[in-house]
Amino acid sequence: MRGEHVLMAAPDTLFLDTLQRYERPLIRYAHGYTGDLEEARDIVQDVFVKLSQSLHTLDHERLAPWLFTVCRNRALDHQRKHRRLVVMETETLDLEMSADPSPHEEMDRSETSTTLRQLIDTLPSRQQEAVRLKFIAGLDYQQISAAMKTSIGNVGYLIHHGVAALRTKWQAMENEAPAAGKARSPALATA
Amino acid sequence: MKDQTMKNEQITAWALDELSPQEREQIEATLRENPQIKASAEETKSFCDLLITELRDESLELTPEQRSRLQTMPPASNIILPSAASKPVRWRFASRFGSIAAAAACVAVGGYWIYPWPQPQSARLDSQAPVRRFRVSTTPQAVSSPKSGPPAPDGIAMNAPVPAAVPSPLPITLALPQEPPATASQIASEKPLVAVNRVFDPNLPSQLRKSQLTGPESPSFSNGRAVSSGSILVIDASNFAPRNAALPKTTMPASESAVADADDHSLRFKQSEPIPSQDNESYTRILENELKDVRAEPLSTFSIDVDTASYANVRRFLNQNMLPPADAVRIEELINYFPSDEEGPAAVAKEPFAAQVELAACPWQPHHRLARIAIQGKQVQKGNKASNLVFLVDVSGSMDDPQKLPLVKQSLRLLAEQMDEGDHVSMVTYASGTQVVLPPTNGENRSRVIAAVDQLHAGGSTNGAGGLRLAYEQAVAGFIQEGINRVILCTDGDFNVGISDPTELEKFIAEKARSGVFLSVLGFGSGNLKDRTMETLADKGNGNYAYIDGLAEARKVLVEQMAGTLVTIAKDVKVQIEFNPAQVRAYRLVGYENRLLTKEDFNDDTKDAGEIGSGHRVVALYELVPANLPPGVGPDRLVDTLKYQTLASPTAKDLNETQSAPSDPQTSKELMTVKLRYKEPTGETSSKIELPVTDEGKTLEAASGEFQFSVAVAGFGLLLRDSSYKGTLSWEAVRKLALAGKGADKLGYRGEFLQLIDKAAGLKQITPR
Repeated sequence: MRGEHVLMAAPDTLFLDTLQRYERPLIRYAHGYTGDLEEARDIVQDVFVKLSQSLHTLDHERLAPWLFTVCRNRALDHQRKHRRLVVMETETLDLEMSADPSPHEEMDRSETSTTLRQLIDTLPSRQQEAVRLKFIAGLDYQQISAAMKTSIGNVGYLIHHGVAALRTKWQAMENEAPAAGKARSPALATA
Repeated sequence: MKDQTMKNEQITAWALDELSPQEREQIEATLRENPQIKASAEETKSFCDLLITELRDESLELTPEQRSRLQTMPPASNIILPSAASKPVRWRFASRFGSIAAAAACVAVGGYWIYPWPQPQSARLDSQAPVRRFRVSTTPQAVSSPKSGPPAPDGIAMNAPVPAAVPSPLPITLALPQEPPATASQIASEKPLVAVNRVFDPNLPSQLRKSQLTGPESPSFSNGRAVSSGSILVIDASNFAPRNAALPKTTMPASESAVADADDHSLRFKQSEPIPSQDNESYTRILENELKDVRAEPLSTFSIDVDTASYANVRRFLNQNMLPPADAVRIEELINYFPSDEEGPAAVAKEPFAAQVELAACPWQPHHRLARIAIQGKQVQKGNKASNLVFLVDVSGSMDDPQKLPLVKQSLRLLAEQMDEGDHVSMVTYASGTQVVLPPTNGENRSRVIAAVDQLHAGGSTNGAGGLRLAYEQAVAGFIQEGINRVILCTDGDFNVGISDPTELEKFIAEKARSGVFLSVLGFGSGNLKDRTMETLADKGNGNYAYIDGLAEARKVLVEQMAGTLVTIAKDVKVQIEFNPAQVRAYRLVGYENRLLTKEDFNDDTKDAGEIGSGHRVVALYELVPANLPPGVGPDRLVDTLKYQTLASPTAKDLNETQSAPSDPQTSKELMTVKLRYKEPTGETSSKIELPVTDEGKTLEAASGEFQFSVAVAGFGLLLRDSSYKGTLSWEAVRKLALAGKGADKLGYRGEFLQLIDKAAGLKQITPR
């Protein structure tokens, strides 16, 4: 992960390497916001287009934070718009249902991860952000601190509390529905 | 306490492997000492692992197309990639509904159209949807604004609004069509070509470039949905303006129109709706018919198409000094646009139409022949029949647009003025609710009809299906045996309440069609035209569909050709040509790409095909490669002659049917046989007409004026499309042919066409490929 300290790499290579390295993390990350794969793809495509335009001016050490910040901003923009749309959506709801593939996608996705995502959404926003960058995007503390413009210590704090809150909620749900096949208990997941 | 908190954070960091070796050492030492903390740490770790495994879904990735586009993207260029064009399920959905809000990423500069966003070749282009509208908007994303400068490493600055040179306030000088090409706005009009390369032309004048490329740097590039981002400018200069005048269309305050437009239209569709391209019009990809080897495929079958929308659309583009996208150019619709003086059968004739075939040399491939098959419907005067018309008018919010409801009113007034005693007109409106606003009224009482039309106003959502139901009820209630019973639907096609599942709507309308009531769909407006929905309605509802782009078109459809629009003389008209391999080596149907049928469909009466109205004329052109071409001329045989078989086996059956024929010397001279099938308007079984054709070796000059004019229009289309079959054709040749075939041109359409040729030739010249 620290391998992007590649100032000397040709821009092309750097771009392609970055694409390879961050494509999936970025999509996951964008998806965490949008909940829609297609949107996430478009957002990430956009991020890379922007990257290609900005590559020469970027501090390569801060590539990952830059990518995720841009991605997040795009995703939030999307979300804002999405919210604005909700009112109208009801009008066309019946129109949408038939062809929208997301129910299908939804089924494919494991219930556990869906639940976890929903839990993440309930966290305070800074914690959410840190948790997403850590677990979904896979950044390390240092990169997260750059992306969130805060100290590493604060990142540790946010993640710790985020994880703790998630765990509490998760266990609460486990206890509520122990027999509901809610997949794995936390302890078993180690394996 | 603080210590403990610190430790807990450290433990989480430890669980996540975020500690330096030293720190880890320390923590692990602590853990060893304290089993209780250790147990809790393990739990934390396992929960973190759970999060990581569950949340890092590696299956989420770009589409291969997107990835490869990015990989092959030249570095540091201002590139705009199309948004994900890869979702079959939704595309299909989109196509059902016509061009769903393909968001516009076009920037209007002084009223010109620019497409910074390419119409991706891979994009879905919904079938049979000649979408006639363009939405132009500033594209915040189209971007890489020259002003944004080096992006801040944290990326925040990049997303801050960039003070932009907003396009709309640019001095709006709509260049006269004749204006010399070197102005910035002219160059802007070349944008479509630039867009095809998916790269901004770096040589654009900087001022222009700035205005195009900047814009509030905001959200939605990624989504390809300019709708919600920044401003939208809808311009349709051609609609009300006199056709060849300068287009003094003022641009609306962009933000305002954005709101109006976006609210009414595109935003109805969920954000996640995939948008094929940045403009709001999408076109069916036209894959030109290929040259077919007669031995392999001796039969060519298609459904007639009396649609003429493509011409009106091409005209709009050219009048805006833009070249239309190739896929907007449907040659058969161009050819069929022009009314002709050719005589149809007498009104009393048994057959509803006459077919004529004429052969002459092909102007773009001098060794080839062109066959022009013309089907001329007989003139049935509307006056002969009493009509029972139900105007069904969409008065939903989306119709509240100068190009829509006001034009609807004007159109209906035109129609109402032609109603006579014995005719009945009623009117139903639909928005959120449906309403009979005019009970059946005798056509004599025109003022009452017109007063009702004048009172229409827009507002609310669009319960199209409810409206249809009520309109059909009205029509059935006032049914006139032997008369014209027709619902005339005026809408932009945006049905969003009630039956909104397209297949259900189809079923509904097909059922209503059995009542004997025909349907005319008049499409209005721009930017939201759900072309596919409307065409489906007309198709399944035994009807026709016209796009009204202005009062002139309303007059053409509703006055000049009212009988054709209202009186159906034959339905399910299909054409099948059988070629004689002794005379023809290969053939190519020019146009009709969307209307091809399989050879079996021809005799299958359950297969739906096009309707023909009174006085309608349908022309099809075939380019023929003679069998006896001298060697070295024209294309080689598409397929080598088989060494071990005399006939290509898969199609031997087709040929066998005619195997006996060539022995007859007369038959073997025949070039082809044209077969037509049609049903009476109320019939269920088809009749067949056969027409053998021989070539008399006519030169182009010797051909009839109608032949020359049709060929000119086809040539115009080939050149506009940059067809691979355009051969040696030049604009000059097209012009000469059009002039030769202009004829009396009472209504001036052909004269207008001549002007369009010049415009297109000029535009092609300044936008070399």
